[in-house]
Amino acid sequence: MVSDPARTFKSMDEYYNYTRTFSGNYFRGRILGSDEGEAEITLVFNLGDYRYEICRGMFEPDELRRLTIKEYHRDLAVLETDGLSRSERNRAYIEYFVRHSNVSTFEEFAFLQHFVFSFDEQRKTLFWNQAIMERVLYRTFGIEPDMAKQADLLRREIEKRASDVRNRQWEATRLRRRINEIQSKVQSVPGAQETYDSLITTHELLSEQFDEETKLLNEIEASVKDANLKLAEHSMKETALRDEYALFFERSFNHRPSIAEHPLIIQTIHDKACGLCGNQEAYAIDTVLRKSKEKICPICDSEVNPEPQTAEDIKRLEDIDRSLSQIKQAIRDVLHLIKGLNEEESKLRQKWVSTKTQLDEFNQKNNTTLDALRRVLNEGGLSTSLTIYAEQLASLEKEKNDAYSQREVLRNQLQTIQKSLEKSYVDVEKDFVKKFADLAHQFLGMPLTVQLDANNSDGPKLIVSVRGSTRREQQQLSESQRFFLDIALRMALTQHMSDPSSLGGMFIDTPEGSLDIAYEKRAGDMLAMFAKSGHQIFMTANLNSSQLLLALARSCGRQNMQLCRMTDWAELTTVQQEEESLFNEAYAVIEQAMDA
Amino acid sequence: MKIRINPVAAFDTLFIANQLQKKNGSFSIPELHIFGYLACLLWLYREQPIADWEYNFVGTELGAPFSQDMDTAANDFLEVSLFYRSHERLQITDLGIQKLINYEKFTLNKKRTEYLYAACSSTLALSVGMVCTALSNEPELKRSNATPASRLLLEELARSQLYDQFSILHTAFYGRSDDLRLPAVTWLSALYSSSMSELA
Repeated sequence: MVSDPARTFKSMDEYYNYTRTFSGNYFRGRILGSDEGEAEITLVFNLGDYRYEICRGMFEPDELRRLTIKEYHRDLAVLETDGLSRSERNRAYIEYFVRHSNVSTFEEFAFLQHFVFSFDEQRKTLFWNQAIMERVLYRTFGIEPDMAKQADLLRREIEKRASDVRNRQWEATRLRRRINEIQSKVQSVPGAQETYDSLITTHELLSEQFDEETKLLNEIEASVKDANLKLAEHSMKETALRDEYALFFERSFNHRPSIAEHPLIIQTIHDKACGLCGNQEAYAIDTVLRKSKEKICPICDSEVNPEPQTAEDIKRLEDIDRSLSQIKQAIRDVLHLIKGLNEEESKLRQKWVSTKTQLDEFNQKNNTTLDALRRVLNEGGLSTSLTIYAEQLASLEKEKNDAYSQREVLRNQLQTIQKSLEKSYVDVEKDFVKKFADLAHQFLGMPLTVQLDANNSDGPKLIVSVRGSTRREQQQLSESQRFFLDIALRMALTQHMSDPSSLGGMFIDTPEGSLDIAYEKRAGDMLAMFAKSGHQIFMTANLNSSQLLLALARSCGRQNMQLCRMTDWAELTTVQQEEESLFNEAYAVIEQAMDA
Repeated sequence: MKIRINPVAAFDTLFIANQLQKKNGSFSIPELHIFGYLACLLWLYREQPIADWEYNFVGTELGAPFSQDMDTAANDFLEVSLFYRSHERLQITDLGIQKLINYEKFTLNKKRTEYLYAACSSTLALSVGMVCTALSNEPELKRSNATPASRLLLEELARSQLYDQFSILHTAFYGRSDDLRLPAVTWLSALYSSSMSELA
């Protein structure tokens, strides 16, 4: 599957379906028309205890030409696919793959493969792509295996309901315009005067109720305002008192102590050795004791007037403390009052909104009728068709409100699974953060960490901190730091998700492009660290002076690294053919590094 | 520029120093932070708002709590002879005790003394070293130890694990004594046992 770089991610299912179709045409023009039927790719891989071999035509995303699944250790086929059609074979592959890999759906696997296990030329980062990050977090840290799928579905449904609300609103506006248009076509009805009187009475009752509630609401709003003002006044006083308290408190430490209270004298008496010359004779200590009680400085012979903390200072502190206690009580009282007022205001507002809605609905439903009735009562003609439109409008309003309520219910459901995610993340945070920090430190060479930010309205996300300062925005890191921290995150996620008996790997496409020279070696060391912990990396790299490949080769050695020369089978340009010796030299240097 | 002293943290520092000296003869600056943090946790146990504790703690990479305000106070006290160094440890002077007696009367401090006292009293049942070991297994400090950077302790996200443990304690001590020392010692003993079994 090849993804469309211009496509915005919406959900795992949508991404899979779109990308599969996109992939079906991707190679058209890149492969000669006469070769299209022959072009196919075969992939052999291990998945837990099973070895898979699949062969797919380059233009057949929904079919498989061959499929073999064997038990790895016993070389025993677990599925016969010769009798199956190509699309049946593809369905069988998906079914077995999901069962053996423990992903909840094949769509989820495609998502993980593209956004976590691969870092390709599109350079899409997880840290700064909220929609993708959210799904990855649920998949990696969720308690239930299908949590990412649940979150994915809920997000999609929430967006759909929001769209429904907007659409119904638009429809309602259109209908209201239509009602206005047909006013002129109103026909006469019997009993116009009775209908008119009944409507007017209802309107008057609703209006009176609305006016009364508005008055009460205004009064309580004024009380809340007054109480808040009182709170601000008390808080200001409290702040001033606290400042004064802190000032006097600090002043109480700033007085010059008596000679006997001086740190040097206290230390001398405790250690039984003069703090200045170190003399430990008894007479020396006696002299220090004697002199410390005098009012003459033993060093400069000046008269010493110690400034003991005066009783006034303590008294002042006591006074401030008392005032602080009183003001705190006053603040508590006001807060209590505000709480009560807010509760009352909330109840009143609910009633007021309900009455206002009734009045608005009444006006929307009946204004046209009332106008028409007035005209009829004056002119003798009225149309009944307005009722039908009014009913349609009411139905639309109901649908809009339903969609709104459904959206809120879905949001609450999402919030519940988010809480569960937060809890499970905290449980494994220690191990996961260490994995990430070790890898990323290998690259950046400075302390860094990640933290879960659960207060984000778009869902939970991981925030990276470097040297204790958080980097929420992309521009707070250089391009190479951004990409390699993201690769470190993917590696840590892969390590965390992997079954210990079948470690996951990563696909990395020409990562050296973004690096400046200072980081090339470190990047190679980071990749080697991941590879040496048993996780495979399938990486393409340009042949140039980059230190990345050399560092990787030196660190992994021949036993942990396999070099494949793409120049052996790729079609070289004329320029590349002329400079083939340069390729050979570059290969030789890498081979030497692997043996070093 | 000299950092302004936080009166509440300064009082806590003096109070804890005096208690530790009474119980153990001396104290160290890291111990002041540990027992200050323990008192703050007991404050949370009683469901008091964290903001009312009036100063913060940071979890260091070593898994120990650290309060800048307490540290400033302790260092100031050394300069003005409320504390003095005795070999590798510290002692409170008579002047320091006199100051503490003055400040203990203030209503601003009265409410805190119950928590500070309960925290320090845990050393009657457990040694200071055991309290340190136990506290390093407290969920927040354990998290801090596990990640390679200092972090602010007791932020909202992380408090849920702590509240889970406190809820068990609340259930266990429901309807029994109001003495905070009981849940403090029980909780610390459980954390200590957990540390020991992890080491084993």
